[in-house]
Amino acid sequence: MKTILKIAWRNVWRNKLRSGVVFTSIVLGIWAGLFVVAISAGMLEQQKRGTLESQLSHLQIHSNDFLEDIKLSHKFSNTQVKQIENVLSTHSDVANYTKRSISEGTGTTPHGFSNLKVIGIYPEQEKNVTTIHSRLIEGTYFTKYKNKPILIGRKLADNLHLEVGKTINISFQDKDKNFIQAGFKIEGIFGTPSQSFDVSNVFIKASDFTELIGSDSPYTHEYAVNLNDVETSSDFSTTINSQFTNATAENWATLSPELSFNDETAGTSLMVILVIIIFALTFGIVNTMLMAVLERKRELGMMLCVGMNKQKIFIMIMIETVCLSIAAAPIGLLLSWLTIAYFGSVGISLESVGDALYKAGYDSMVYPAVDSIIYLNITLMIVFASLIASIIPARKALKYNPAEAVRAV
Amino acid sequence: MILKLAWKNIWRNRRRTFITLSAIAFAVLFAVMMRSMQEGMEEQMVKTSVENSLGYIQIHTKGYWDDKLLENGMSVPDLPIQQIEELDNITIVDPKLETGMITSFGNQSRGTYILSYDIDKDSPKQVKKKLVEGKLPRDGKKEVVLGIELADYLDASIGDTLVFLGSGYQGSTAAGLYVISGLLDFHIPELNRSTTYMSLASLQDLLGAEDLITSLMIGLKKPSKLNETAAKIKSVIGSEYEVMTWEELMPDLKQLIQTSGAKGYIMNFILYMIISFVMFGTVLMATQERKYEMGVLQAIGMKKSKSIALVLVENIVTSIMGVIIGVIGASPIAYYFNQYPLEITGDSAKAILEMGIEPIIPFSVNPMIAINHGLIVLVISLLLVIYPIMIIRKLNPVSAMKL
Repeated sequence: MKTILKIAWRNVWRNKLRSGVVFTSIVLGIWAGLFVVAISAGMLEQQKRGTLESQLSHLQIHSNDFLEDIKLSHKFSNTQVKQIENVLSTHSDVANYTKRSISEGTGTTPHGFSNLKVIGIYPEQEKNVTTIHSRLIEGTYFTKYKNKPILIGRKLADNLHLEVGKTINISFQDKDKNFIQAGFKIEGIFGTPSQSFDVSNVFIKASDFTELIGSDSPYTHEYAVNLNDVETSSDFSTTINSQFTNATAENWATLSPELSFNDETAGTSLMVILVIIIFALTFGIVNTMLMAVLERKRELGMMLCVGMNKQKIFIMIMIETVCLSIAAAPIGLLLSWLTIAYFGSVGISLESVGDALYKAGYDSMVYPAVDSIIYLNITLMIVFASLIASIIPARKALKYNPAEAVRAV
Repeated sequence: MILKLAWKNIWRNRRRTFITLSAIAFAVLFAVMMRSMQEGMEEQMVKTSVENSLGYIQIHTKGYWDDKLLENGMSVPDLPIQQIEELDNITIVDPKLETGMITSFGNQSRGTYILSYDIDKDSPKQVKKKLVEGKLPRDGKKEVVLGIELADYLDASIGDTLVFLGSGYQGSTAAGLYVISGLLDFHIPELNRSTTYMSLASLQDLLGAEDLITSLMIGLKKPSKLNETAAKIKSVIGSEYEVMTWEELMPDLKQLIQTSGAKGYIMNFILYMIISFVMFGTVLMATQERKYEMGVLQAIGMKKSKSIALVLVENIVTSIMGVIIGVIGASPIAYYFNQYPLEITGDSAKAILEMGIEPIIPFSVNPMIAINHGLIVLVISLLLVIYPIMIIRKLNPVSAMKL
């Protein structure tokens, strides 16, 4: 065995060119696999962050009735408000939270109308949870107008021909189910990555909301919560749900199936891409090793003639590939880690389509990033693929007839 | 002479030719597969969105899309519908009337979009697909179908009478009583909350505007010929109308596709790096193997330029053959995955279905993919011939012939 190892090792170094080709194939394969995964993951992460920051927050809590049917009367009771706020303000996982009042209404202008979700917010707390205040394209954030200011989305402004300073009439029901209508002065126009969010959500002050529905105390329908670590959102939701019977917490994945849809399609297509890359790579290795075996026909024939058995030849060729893989894997890893770390901090510019990307919820810069476990997975996949790839050439060598092989040129 | 020699060389060492050929053919295959999948995903996105809502092309009076007032509508007799239908690539020309009104039942009321469908065209089928309860309005009756969440909000069900109130054509007031005959589920919450359908004739009647429509929706046989068809339609109708493609109607979707396109380019670039390298490896080995032979040829007096020409011809012939084999090999695979698309599994497959999108990734069978990527691989393969040329130029027959 030791001899075979020695022979294999020498063979690797004998034809440096050929070894170089296989070696580079493996390095390139590891690099390409990891880089593709990193870009994909980076883009998804970017989009997720954009949506979470501007719209969803990490998780939201509603009363069960409200989830069933968005109605003004389906608010949290006063005791629930106290209990929930008690949990949210004391729990160590919670970074920030805010509460909101919500009603469905219809906004009308002479140019048409739009069904809206009218959201009453506490401007200062809201700032800590979502980034609407920093996404204003025009106007200001509840500082300019005293009397019933409103923030609307860019798409809604376009559709209904509205501008900052103009008035939109919004009708909804008050607490006694009477139909009420009020004019709101547009103070700011925001743009989030999602046009469908922009067209159907408007923000007013919670105090205006309470006054309009004819109530003395605020109606709370929704808590938006940001945690210290978004990964814990699912666990935290479970904690909340076990403590309250009539309130349900949903994390971002439940709130936005589109985001998980992106995750899933991206995941599936990424798998296909990886399979294609690995196939291409395996094929390259098979080709090179096959040529190596065919080229060394005479030499292998000679070894068979002098009494080396076929099994050992097979093992020898496999060991050659293993040696190359083991040498190539760390270099491939290092190269991937360097490029991913570099582009992860500098970013890859997709400038040519940048504007479109920004609007679709991505930034024009992509920052590749990858979990450390993926490094291991991909490396193992590639090394495994290269081993499989060496079986075909090694089998070919088994079929040699020593007498013929030794005479080959 | 060189041609003949090259041809003989190709067939002389079949194993080497086979390995080179397969490298090129697989390169084409991999590139085509990857792009087919990417384009397939894009086509799928467009298809679902377009067929669910707006159609591939819409025609309106100029200005309607910016300001959706009934006064910006069109009159059916003025439009050359017949002529448009006779153009190539058109499956359907469907007149649509659309307006917003307040819908009330009891003391609940809500802004609603009222859409029309033409009983004589295909559109009842599309509305019917979404029908979950009851039936479509009968011809000549004052009946409507509406989104389930809207009905829920109004606390109304089949058989109840709704009040519609809004502005009619040219400043008149439109009001009418309509009986709910069925409920629709669009799988899109926004539409379920706000959409009502009635027949074109009843809506025209409600608005007091005979022959009025707001848009012509046009279906296409081949969505890939979108811009060509739009240009043809433009030449048929007058300049007082606007012809808009889905790309203009749904800029969101267009952007989403550009996003996935940008990602696709990066992936393709990386794949091409690998492909180029695999092909280079093959060329490299093949060249090394032939050093001896080249040395002999030079020793017996063949000029270097002729050797180079020989290698060049061999390379061109094998490249072209490889690309053709690759394209032929890729087509049935792409076709297979087009017919039996990859399915997305996992928890969110259900959620995706609820959004009205089928959780599948079909492959595109656009022949341009195979042609484009076949050409790219051909170019790479031809560029790689630089390596053997360099080797031949530097070749010293004496040392080359030493084994």
